[in-house]
Amino acid sequence: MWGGLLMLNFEPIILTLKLAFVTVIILLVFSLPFAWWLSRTSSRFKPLLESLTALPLVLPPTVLGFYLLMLMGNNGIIGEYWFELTGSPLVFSFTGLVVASCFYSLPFVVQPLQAAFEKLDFKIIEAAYTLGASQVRTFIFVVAPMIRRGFITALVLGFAHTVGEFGVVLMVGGNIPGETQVISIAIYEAVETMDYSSAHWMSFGLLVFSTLVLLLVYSFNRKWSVN
Amino acid sequence: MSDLKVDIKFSRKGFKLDVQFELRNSHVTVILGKSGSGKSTLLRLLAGLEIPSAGTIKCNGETWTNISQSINFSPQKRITGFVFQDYALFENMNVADNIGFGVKKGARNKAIKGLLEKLELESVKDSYPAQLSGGQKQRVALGRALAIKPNLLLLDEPLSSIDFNMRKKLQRELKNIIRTIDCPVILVTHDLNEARLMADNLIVMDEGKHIRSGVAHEVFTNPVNKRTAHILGWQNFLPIKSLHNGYADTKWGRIFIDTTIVPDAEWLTIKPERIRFGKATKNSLSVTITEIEDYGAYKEFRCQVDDSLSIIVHRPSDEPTPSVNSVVNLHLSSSCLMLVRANTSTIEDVKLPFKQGCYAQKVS
Repeated sequence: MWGGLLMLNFEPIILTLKLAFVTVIILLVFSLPFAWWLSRTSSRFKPLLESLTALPLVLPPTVLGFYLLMLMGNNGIIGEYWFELTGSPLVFSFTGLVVASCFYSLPFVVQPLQAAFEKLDFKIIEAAYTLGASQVRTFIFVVAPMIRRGFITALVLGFAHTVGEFGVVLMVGGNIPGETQVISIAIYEAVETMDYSSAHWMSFGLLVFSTLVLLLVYSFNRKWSVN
Repeated sequence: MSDLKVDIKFSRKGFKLDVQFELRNSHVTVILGKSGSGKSTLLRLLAGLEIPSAGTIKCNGETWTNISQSINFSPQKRITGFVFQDYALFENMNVADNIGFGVKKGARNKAIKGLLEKLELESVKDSYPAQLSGGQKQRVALGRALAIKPNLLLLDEPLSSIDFNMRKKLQRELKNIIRTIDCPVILVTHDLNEARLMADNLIVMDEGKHIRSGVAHEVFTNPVNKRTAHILGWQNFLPIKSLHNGYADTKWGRIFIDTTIVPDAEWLTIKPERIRFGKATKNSLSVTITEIEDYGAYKEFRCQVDDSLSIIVHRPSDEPTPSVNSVVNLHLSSSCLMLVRANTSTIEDVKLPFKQGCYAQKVS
């Protein structure tokens, strides 16, 4: 059994971590202003945008994957434009995987941030402004420390959820080693080819990783709520 | 010293604010009004936290707001020390860092040290807001606002969330601190006692308009119009048929007065605690007591004169007092009666010739 660990192909693991890292960075950059806006707005479009954001929580990944495939395929609106722009297809590529992952993990990043912003007392921001602090300084020294729990939760859940995705990735990325074969697909393939040793070590690694991540989130939250 | 000239309009979700006043060399100005009168909104407009729909704000000759010229300074540019109702301290920073937040690096340590000493916060300088008492939080909020050497210090009901006994103590503390500050202070409150304790000048607000302003003592003793009188604690209003020198004729007979004649006055008013039970005299009304409420320190009597008028009387609880349904005489002392106009809607109506301080003036 241990021998299987030495024989393990690390490529899907590295690709998965790379995908999760890129996805979570893009999502944080986009979600911070979006969650801020959602937390403050009284726009009539807010329920619609909140529903669209939360869709990946309730839809089967294959449904989301199917429509993303339609959009990102060479005949889809996004895919066609992408092909004209770059000369290469968006589906079955790492970039396509990132785009799909961003949609799939969106609620896991937006919702904790939105909750953190909603809990924030706007008066502390106004207090900082009256004390002469710019918006950037106010965000770094006043807002960021107050939303750190939500931020860490968004970061970790976004990362972990991307690591664990399967259905969407399979639909949009397929199973190309080194390009789109992430760990969950590699496990599936190992089982298909009856390579249970590799399947075990990859599954076990994912299990340990997920446990550690959740432990980390709960520990941080406990520490900060005690403080 | 400083000048502040305000002439602004603001409107949001059906609420309208329309205020004009001018402060000259004023130290502590209290804005007094009921909840929803627009006093906190006015303070936020002064700090730049809200944008007026029209008008101008000038401070020390500098135009902070001129909507017609698209000028509206940001809160950062106005340098107003704002103390929020619940203090809005930065929970992630200790006391020293809260106080020093708005000060530039080079001057920060000196400013922190000076204010910690002045506000007696040295022993808690490393504590976080969650570890502080209500009084300490108030002093930190004040220190943080004063550290930036503000053009104006704005206090938005700083004691409203504190219980009664503590509030009295903190009011005294706040008054003592404010007296040592050399910038103009504008304090918003709905608490009459707090306004009396703190104010040099008083602006009374109601339904988004300021209805009376001037030197605090003069406003308290001569409210001029009925709405101001009501906010300042007068509860009994007797309509006047005709006004003469030294007396007024009412539906209930002639009542002698010994007070400043307010031209066009339509009402006689007297505070509940100024009325005594007594024998029938030239300034008395025969009434039937319909209700008595005991508030501990005093009893409140609801006295019916006739179908159109009831009078509220407050007497000390330990004083021998009549019972419900008894018919008694109320003595209205001529020196305690005040004349007021009907409710006014324009500032012109409440303009008074104050020599200094706070001016209500018609802005053309």
